[in-house]
Amino acid sequence: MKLIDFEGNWSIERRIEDHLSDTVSHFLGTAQIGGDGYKEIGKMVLANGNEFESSRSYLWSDCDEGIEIRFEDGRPFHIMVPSGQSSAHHWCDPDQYDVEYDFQSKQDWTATWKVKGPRKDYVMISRYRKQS
Amino acid sequence: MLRIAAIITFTASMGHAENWVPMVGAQIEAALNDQTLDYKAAWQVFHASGRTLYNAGHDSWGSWRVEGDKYCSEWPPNAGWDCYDMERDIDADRVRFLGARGDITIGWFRR
Repeated sequence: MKLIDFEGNWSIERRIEDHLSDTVSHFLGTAQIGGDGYKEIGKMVLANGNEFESSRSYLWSDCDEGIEIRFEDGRPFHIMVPSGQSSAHHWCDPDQYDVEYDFQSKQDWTATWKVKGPRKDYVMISRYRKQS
Repeated sequence: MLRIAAIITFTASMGHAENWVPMVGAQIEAALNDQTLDYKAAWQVFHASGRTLYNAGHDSWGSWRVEGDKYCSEWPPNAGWDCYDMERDIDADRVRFLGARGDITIGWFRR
């Protein structure tokens, strides 16, 4: 898949399992992918029931290996290989971010992030489905 | 990423401690909305949209919000929010963030 294959709107269902607090939070939202950008917005529901709007953006671009994902300021994040199952890693001192992608189809894929650090230990599972 | 605490951590002097008063949620929101704080070696803008831009040499975008009487922020790629109590200095145009681990960060309003 190239960037053009991702262009459009995606629904996001995200589950965040925090192993330090032994709590689970959820995010429901949409991502708009187009041009050079990924923009998601939605509602985060914390384990205590509090809800609030949440958003984030990344820069996406094609590269030889797949899709290069960068932070909004251009710093590199990781490269996503959008085929079958793949993994990538990112070190954000002092935390380690490991992701496993699972592309069931061009319309349905999952990103599972495992984050560990001195003050972090959580798993974040995001399922993306293309909106018609 | 714990932006605020990672940059400047001050130990409040006893002489200043009496000038700080706790802020409630509405005060935090009113104080930070569309304002810029200068830290010792960085600055941060708090947009009313909930976006926040931190710069300690390069731009870094995150999100901020007020939950209860705490200031909370989130910085990609992290999915979690770090929350801080806030106090204002009744004698100066500045506020400080108090982290759960005892870290204290002071910011001066850019007017």
